[in-house]
Amino acid sequence: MCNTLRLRNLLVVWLWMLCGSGWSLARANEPVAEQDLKAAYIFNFIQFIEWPEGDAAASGDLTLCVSPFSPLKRALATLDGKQAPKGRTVRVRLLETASLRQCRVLILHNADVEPALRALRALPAAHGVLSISDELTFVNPEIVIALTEQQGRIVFGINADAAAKAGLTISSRLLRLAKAGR
Amino acid sequence: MARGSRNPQRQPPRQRAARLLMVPRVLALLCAGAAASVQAQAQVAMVDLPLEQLMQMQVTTASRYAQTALEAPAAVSVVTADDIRLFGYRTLAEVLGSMRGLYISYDRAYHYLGTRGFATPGDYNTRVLLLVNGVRFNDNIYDQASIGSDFPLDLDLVDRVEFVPGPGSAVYGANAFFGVVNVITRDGRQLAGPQVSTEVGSHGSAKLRFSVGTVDAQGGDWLLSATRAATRGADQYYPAYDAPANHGGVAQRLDYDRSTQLFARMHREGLTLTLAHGERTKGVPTAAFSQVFNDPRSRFIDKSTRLAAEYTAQLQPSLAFTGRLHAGRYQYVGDYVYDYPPLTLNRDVSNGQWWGTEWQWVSTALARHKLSWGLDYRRDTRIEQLNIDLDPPAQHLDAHRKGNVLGLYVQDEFALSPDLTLHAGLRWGKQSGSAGAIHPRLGLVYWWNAATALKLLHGTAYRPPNAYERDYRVDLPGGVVEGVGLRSERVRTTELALEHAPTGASRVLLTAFRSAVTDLIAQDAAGSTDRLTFGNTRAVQVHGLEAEAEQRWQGGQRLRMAYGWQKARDPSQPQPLTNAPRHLLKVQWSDTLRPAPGSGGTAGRYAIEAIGIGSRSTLQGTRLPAHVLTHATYSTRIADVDVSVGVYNLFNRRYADPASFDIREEAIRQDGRTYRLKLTYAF
Repeated sequence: MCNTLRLRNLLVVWLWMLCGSGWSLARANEPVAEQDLKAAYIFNFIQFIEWPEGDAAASGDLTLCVSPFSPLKRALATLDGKQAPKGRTVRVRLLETASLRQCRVLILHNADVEPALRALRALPAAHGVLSISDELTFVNPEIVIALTEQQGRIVFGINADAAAKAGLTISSRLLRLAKAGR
Repeated sequence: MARGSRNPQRQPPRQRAARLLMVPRVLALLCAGAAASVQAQAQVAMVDLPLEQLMQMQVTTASRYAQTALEAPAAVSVVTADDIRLFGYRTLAEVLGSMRGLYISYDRAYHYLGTRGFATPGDYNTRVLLLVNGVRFNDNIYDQASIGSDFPLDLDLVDRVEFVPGPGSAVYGANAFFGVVNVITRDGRQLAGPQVSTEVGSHGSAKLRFSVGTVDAQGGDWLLSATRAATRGADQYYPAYDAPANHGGVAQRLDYDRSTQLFARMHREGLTLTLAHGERTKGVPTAAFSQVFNDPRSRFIDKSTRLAAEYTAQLQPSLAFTGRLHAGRYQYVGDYVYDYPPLTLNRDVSNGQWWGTEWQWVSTALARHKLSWGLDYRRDTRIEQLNIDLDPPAQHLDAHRKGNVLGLYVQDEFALSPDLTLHAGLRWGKQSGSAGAIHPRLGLVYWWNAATALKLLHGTAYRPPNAYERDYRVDLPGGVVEGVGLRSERVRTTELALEHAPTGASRVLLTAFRSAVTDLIAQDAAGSTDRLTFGNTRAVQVHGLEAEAEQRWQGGQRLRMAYGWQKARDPSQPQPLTNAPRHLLKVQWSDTLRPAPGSGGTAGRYAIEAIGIGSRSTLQGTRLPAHVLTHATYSTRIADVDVSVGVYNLFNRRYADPASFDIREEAIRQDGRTYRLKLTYAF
C-alpha cells in the first residue's frame, strides 16, 4: 500500500511538471510542425495573388478547398474566419470536385490531382481557381503552386503559365521568392 | 478553466485527501486545455509572419509521424531507432516495456507482455499480434509473439516499433486481441556500407553483429545482417527447492541464453523481399513443468524462419494495391528431465509451417471517402506436436493438424467535415475448427483544433484456441489433460482518447478505456496439483485511465512521462487477478552533454529511464511489492566508434515477476544491477 501511495505521489508531481511544460511550449522558440508552416505559407500566398475582376465568386468569402485526406487539413482549418485582402474572409471547406467552381484555392494531395484537374479543364479559361499541390509525387504543369519540404525547409515553385491560364495575377515579390524553374 | 485548477487547493484538507486520485485526472485535462489555447495563439502568430521570415523556419522531422499518429483512430505508441540507441534497449521486450500501458514479466525462458494491467498466466503472448513490416510473426502452434532473445530480429535493424492498443480484429483478424505490435525494419541505405557491432555485459554476455547495407546501380536497396549472442547467466536461487538434495535450491549454469539471428532485405521500386531467421537455446533454471531441479539437460530451443514478398503499386491515381506472399516455419524443442523413476529425458517437439497471401486495395475515388478492402489467407501446412521419452523410449503425444485461415475485410475513412472523421471497419474471419466470426470497429476522430484530436473508439476482437491449447494433451507431471471443449474467446473495448500535439516537439495524451473479455481461455490446475487443463473459464473486466506527455527542447533535452491506472477483475472470483498491477509508470529523460569549449572532448548523450510497476498478485495470492527500476545509458562517439554504456536496474532493486502454473516457485526473482558496453563501427 505504501508503494502505491508513493507511485500516486509521483504521479501528482509529474502531472504538475507536465502542466509547466505545457505553458512553456508557446514561449520556446523551437522548430515548427511542417503542416503548420505550410498553412502559413498558403495564407501568405493569398496576399500576393489577384483574382480576376468581375468574378462572381471573387467577392465576399475566399473559399479554400482542401482534399479530405490532406495532412494540411487540420492546420488549414485554423485559417477559417481570417481576413484576406479586399475585405474578404477566408473560409475552409473540404474539396468536392462537383462544386469546385466555388473554390478560389484548391489544396491538392496525390489522390485528388487527376479528378480535380479534370474538373478544372472543364471550366472556362481564366476561371480564377488557384491550384496548390502539396508533396506531389509527379510534378504536373497544370498546377499553379507546388509546395514541398526539402531538407527541413519548405520550398515552393510557381508555374507562371498555369497562373496566366487561370486568370490569376501573381505579385513579382512572390515570384522572386519562388524556387526558380520549379 | 484556469480558475478551476486552483479550486482543489481551496478545499478543506480532509476532502482534499479523499480526492487525491481525482486531482491528477482533472489537472491533466486542465493542462491539455490550457496548452491548447496557448498553442492556438502561437499558430495564429505564425500565420501572420511575412513569407520571408517563414522561409527561414526549420521544420521538425518528428512532426511527420506525430501527425500521422494524431490522425490514426487509435492511441498509438512509437519507439524509434534513435530511442533504442539512446535508452540502450537490448530486447524487443524492453522496447515494449517502455511504452504506455505495457509491462513485461520474465520467467527465465520467455518474456510475457502485459497489456493495460492484464496478463494471463501461461499466455505466450497469444493475445498480441506481432507484425514485422506488416507481416504476421506469431507462429501457428502457440500463436506466440516472441519478444525476448527468441525474437529473430536484431534490434539494431529496427527503424521503429509501433504499438496500437485495443482490439484490432476488424483489421487483422485473430490474435489482435489486446493490441498490435508492428516492427518496421531499417533500409540498407540507412546503414550505408558495412557495419560491425560488438557488446559485452553482465553475467558473461557477449554479442557480435555484422551488417551490410547498400544501394545498387539499379536503385535496389539491400540489407544483410548476422548476429550471434551468448549469455552465460548467473546461478539462480529458488527457495521452493532449497534442500540439500537440490544443491540448496541453486540452479547452476542453467540461465544461459545463446542465439543466432540472420536478416536479409531487398527493396526495389514496389517490390520488397525479406528473410528473417532466428535460433535460440535457453537453459531452464526454474525446473518448469515439474522437472527435476538443477539438471543441466533442461533447455528450450526456438527456431523461426520467415519469408515475405511485398508488392505495392499505384494502379490508378486513386487506387493503390498491396500484395503480400509470406511463408514461415517454427520449431520448438524442449528437453525436460523427469524422475518417473528412472531419471528420464523427455522431449517436446513442435513443428509449424505455413504460407499465406494478403491482398489489399485502397481507393480514394469516392469523394471524402478512403475505402480499403482486402483478403487474407493462410494455409497451415504443418502443425505437429510430439512428446517422447528418449531413454527408455516412449511416446506420449503425436498430434497433427492442418488448416486454413481466411479473412475478408472492408474499411472506410469518411471525412464528414474538416474537423470530423469517421472510421468504420468490418471483418469476417474463419479458421479451421472454429466458427466464422464478424468483427466491427468504429472510430470517430474529432479535431478540436489543428493540434488537438478527440477520439472515440470501439471495437471487438476474438481469438480461437491455438493448436497448443487444442491438441497438447500429455498425461505426465506438468502436462495438460483434456478439459471441456474450447471455443473462441472474445473482447469488447471502448476507449475515449484526447491527443494534443501542438508542435512536432510535444505531445500530450489522455485516454480512458473499458474492456470486457468473455470466455477467456485460461490454464488451470486440474484436480491433482501437477496436471493442467485449458478451459473458457474466465470473464475479465478491465477499465482504466492513461496519461502521457512528451516534450523535446531545442537544446536536445527530452522528457516523456506515461502513467496508467487500471483495474482488472474477474467478477466470479473474490481474489485479485494474477499479475495485474493497478499502476504503471514510465519516466524518461535524456539530454546532450557538451564538453567545455577547448577541452577537445566529444559530445555525448545520456538517458535515464524509470519504470514502475504497481504491486501484483501471484497465483497463490501473495502480493509482490511495487517496484521502480531505473536504467541509465550514456552514448557518445570516440574515434568513429559509437560507444554506448548502459547500467540497468541502477539501484540494484530486488524484485520478482509472478510465475505461471508450470513453475513451482510462485514468483521469479529478476536480475539486479547489470551492465552493458556496446561498440559500433561503420566502415
